[in-house]
Amino acid sequence: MKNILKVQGLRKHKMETAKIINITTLPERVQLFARHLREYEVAAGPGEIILFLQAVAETGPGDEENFKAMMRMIFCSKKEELEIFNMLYPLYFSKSALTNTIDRKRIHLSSNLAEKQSDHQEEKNQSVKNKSKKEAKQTLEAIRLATAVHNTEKQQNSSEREARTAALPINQSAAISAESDKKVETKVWKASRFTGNKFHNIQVSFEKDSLTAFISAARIFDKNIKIKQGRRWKSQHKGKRIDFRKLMRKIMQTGGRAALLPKKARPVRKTKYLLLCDSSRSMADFSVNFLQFAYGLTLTSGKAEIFLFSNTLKRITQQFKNIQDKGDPAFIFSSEEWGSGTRIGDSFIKLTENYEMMLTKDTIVLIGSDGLDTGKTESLRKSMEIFQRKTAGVVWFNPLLAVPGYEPEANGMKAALPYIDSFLSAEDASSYQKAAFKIRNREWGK
Amino acid sequence: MREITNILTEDTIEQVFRKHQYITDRSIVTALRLVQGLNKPLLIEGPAGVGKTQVAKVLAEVLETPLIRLQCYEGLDVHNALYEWNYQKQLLHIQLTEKTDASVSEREQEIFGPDFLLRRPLLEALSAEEAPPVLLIDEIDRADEEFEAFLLELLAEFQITIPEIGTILPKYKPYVILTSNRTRELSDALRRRCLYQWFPYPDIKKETAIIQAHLPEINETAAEKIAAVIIKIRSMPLNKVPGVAETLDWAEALMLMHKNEITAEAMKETLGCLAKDRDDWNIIENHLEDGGLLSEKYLKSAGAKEA
Repeated sequence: MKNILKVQGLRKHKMETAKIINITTLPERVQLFARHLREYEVAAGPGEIILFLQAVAETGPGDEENFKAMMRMIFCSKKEELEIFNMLYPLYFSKSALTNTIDRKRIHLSSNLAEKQSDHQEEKNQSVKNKSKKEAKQTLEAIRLATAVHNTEKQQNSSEREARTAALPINQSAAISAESDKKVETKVWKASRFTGNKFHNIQVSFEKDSLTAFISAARIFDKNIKIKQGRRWKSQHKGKRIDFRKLMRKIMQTGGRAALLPKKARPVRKTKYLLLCDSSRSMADFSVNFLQFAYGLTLTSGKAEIFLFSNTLKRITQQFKNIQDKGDPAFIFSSEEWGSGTRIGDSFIKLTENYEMMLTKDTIVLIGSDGLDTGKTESLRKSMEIFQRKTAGVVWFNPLLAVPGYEPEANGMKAALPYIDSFLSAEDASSYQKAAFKIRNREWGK
Repeated sequence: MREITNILTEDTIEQVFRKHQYITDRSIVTALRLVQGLNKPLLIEGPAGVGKTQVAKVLAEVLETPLIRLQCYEGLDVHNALYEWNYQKQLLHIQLTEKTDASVSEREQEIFGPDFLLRRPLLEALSAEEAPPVLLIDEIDRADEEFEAFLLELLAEFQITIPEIGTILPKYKPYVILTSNRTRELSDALRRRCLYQWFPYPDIKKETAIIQAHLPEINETAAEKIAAVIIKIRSMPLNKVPGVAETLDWAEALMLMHKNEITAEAMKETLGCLAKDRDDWNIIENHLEDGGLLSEKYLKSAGAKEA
């Protein structure tokens, strides 16, 4: 939704660009920088800007290193945000950015980018409007030829289409719906290829029946996965036994008049899921299914963390949690996140470094991928070893396993296999159910 | 709220901390300066054993102010962190005043006064009379989410409300330092109220300086070699990665037993300072037996990687 709003705001952004070019004062520069950070989901709001300016007033800007450190600790609040900060900071506050007029253009990278996107967008809008029925027919044909039939695109009404023209699958349906009312199924990654522009967003939505089946499969899966429970009794509000030790302490404190009986119970360890979905080009069909399964687990267990990995790693848990229409979820990803290459090992290493707190003894790692890694195999081996050591178990869903005669001979798959507890096939909702029954008798955890 | 007079400047922080055997870098210095200047809590995250807790301890020593520490754990509640009524004293007081002429409401008012209040760390930090104390909320990630939510009022407003007494405003705002090992994710609300600082493992140069600061009798070459070995060990797939504390223990043990020599034999004898897990022990020992861990080439690569 945020991305759609961003697209809608592009025209406004473009109008602002002329003003921005002349900005050189510190508060305005900081403001621009904060805006750029927000584009990368860093929570750098007005409060942080004010606090930073207060800090500068209080302590003085100091030298360059001091200035940067001050800004970093105010604008960043997580380890993973430090990387984004370090990437963007030189664009706004390096010596050349502050003095050079040419570099000043670089400072307004986001605005220029927005301008570019806006121009591109206007062209697109124009072309969509001018498309004749014949062109629409050709487009439809092209899509049909180019893509395998898997993901059903929802038909959108025309007003929605205009608002969301950056999300390409909707663009396609705009052209298509002029000719036909049939549901058109496209591979989502192909959509990103049509644009030829990496700044385009891709919308992923699900077919209702399919989603229901996956939610039900996720429910069965969650029901059948059992984490090893501890035997230790702990003090709890609603326990089965009386906690005599605590009772004695209370009695001593209150002179023999303890009002409530302290109880104890064995704490229930709930299963947490860490879902890693391969969103590379080769996995587009499977990824949509895996995402539906992930969505089902989010609804069922509530303790699921979801990541997309291709060339980069992207945490999408929040997108899953913020869905307004629970019955018809839709997600928007950038073409960098969805439909690029596959660097599995590098993405996993990044996960172990930045999100190590998610690798707990109650966590089951569910990976959905064909294991075709274009990165370093050593990185994949190392990260899989960490998953295996730190979590309750690793389950790998490989769609190729259903192909007769398939052998996990790819380097990536070979490197990962020793660390996998269950290697399962997953084509559709029923295969996830079957997978649950296959691993039901196992007690996960160490 | 009173003015604070003993604010450290950036130049002095580094020197004074070094005197207290704590090696800082520019970002830590800036963070501490901002904690004093802006009166904002500082959230420090990083792996175990990199000196997060130590920052607060040294800061209190340097400022000559009390350190109030709240160690967080699962199940920590308001009563253990903020205040509790002294039931025994209250009961005793009721019994002693039974035969006096005081009315019930008067007696009730008496037993819910400051005399019967047991101050826990958070309330203690807000009640400082002479100087702002350093409040260390250690390992906040171990506490429950409910407790984290409870802390929000304290971190944002520096005030606490006790129903029977009212809102307590501090005379001096404490310097609050929170630490986390990232065993669970903290809420955005808590993060937004704090300055943020990430403490990684120190690089070879800094670790050498730390060793030398704690063990002045060690020679520079030995300190460098220890730091290089430790960095190499940290890159191994261990269950418990050795922190700075382990480095210092190991350096001290080596000094005690073998002076300034680091041989494979000496390392095997003192491995217990570094490996805290049987599997880790085996991994390090295997690397040692392969002859790789202490070889010049191996250590140079560790240094180069760091650089």
